[in-house]
Amino acid sequence: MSVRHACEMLLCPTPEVLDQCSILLEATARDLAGSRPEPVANQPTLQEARLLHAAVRHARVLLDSAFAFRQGWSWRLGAITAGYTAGGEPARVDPGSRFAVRG
Amino acid sequence: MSNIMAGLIESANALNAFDQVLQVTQNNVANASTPGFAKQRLQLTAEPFQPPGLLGGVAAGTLENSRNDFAEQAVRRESTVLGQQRQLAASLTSLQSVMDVSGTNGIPYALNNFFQSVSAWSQTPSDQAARQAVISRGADMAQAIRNASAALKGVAQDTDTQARNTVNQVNELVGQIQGYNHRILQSGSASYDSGMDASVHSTLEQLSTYIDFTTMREPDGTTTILLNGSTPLLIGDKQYALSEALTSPPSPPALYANAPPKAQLRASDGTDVTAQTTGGQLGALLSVRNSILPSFQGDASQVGSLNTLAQGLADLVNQLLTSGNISDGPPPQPGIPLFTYDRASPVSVAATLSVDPSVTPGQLAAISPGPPEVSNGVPLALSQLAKPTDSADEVDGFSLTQFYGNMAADVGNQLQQAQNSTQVQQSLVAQAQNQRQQISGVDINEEAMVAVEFQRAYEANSRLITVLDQLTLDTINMLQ
Repeated sequence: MSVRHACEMLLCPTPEVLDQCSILLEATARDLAGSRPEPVANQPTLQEARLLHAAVRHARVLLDSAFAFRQGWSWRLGAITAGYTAGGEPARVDPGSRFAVRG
Repeated sequence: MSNIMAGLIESANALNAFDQVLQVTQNNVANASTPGFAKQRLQLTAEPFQPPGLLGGVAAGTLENSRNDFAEQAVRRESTVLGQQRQLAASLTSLQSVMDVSGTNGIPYALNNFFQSVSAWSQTPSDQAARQAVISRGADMAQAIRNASAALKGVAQDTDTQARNTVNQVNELVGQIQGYNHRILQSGSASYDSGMDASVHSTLEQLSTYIDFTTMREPDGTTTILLNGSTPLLIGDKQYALSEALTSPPSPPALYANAPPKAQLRASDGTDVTAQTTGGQLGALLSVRNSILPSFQGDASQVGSLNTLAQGLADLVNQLLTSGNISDGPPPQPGIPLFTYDRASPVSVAATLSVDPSVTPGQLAAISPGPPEVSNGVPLALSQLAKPTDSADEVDGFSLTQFYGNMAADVGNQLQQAQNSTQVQQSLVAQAQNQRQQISGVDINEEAMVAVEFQRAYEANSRLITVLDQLTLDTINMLQ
């Protein structure tokens, strides 16, 4: 359920959303590790585990896609604003030095 | 005095500039829900400060379209995959309806009934009613295979129609953009028109569900479209229309005559661009028509699994019947084959399979000559085809039922995969659309900081997902 919620959140991937996702994923991982089921054939639990696995894979696809998008955009932004490095790579955009205060 | 005038002019310029900023903002608000519209922002440029004439201040720079090609391309790329997977799922659903696995009709039902009839015949080898039942169930079996063959042909024809309609749709959408290009060229300026830009992007997004293409914004303001990145569909105001035709390619030479033709996509100069066209709805239709369907119904280079099944069934049954005797004589009267099909065309076996109408119940051979002679040896051997113990009684290493099951499972698996991919792809399109909104008109410094934050958050999530993936896999393995 939490992983599915994380998938929904990953549809609008911002750093803030990703931070919230990691809380959900961490809680799911902790729950799963803490409640290891009996190693016997159990059809409903097996079905549930398969659904969870599919949701985790879905989250992976969404996360990787969001990252690829951000990375591609950063490269393009770098090339537009700062040109290319001597090695031919798009130059990185300097985010400058900033303080970030978190509550 | 001149300084006062210069100051007033500068103030008026600045006011004018801020007024334009306001107009752009209002334009953004008014068009917020227009399909394909991107936020615009006005760049304010500093005027040189050089008294007495030039007193600095701000002026409106060129109107910058903050829509970036990158975000648009990302949406179109995901839409192309979605169009492909969605079409694949739809086509495979049609195909799955041909491959019944319920056992209540179609080939598995007919196979089951046929084996039951030969089993009953083996109990009473001389019974005319039991013999007639074998002939009738054999005819039903042949009919079921012919029906499946006809249904596959129907799916192929539907796919051809859909492919033709899709090609027309592609030409129409490209034609719309050609119209915009024409207007731009006629106006003689590459000035930015936000309304037209929105229409172009909206049309390109629609087009991306049908085909895989790349676009370029030319310096004169027109849009160039290349199919699969290489075949021109639109350059300036010249459109290069696609066409679709059914054809039997001359090379490689056909192994099987009378094979169903293949669908061919042609560029405007007649070049065959079928192989390169794999993305979007059109790519899926070509794949179904030229790859998936031929694996069942055959083509110039393969027999097709339905024909293999039909020939396997007919040959195994005929071989057993002709190896037996109708009577032990003297002289012993040999059996005759039950099934007939077009032997000259291996790709037409399923379509032509039938029971020889001249065969009578009395002509079915029941006696296995041996030694030792067995009076019901042939029907016993026929009933063993249901669960063969000898590889000679199998088709490509499988029983007839298993062979059909594999065909149905193949379609089922491909359909399941396409449905799952469609579901995931829908969310990827939604994500790309959201990201397009996010990066439109964002401050560059802000963007650089977001990139750093994103990288950090991505790495944390990625590690967690790797752990969760392994944990769920371990759980599944434990429960299996």
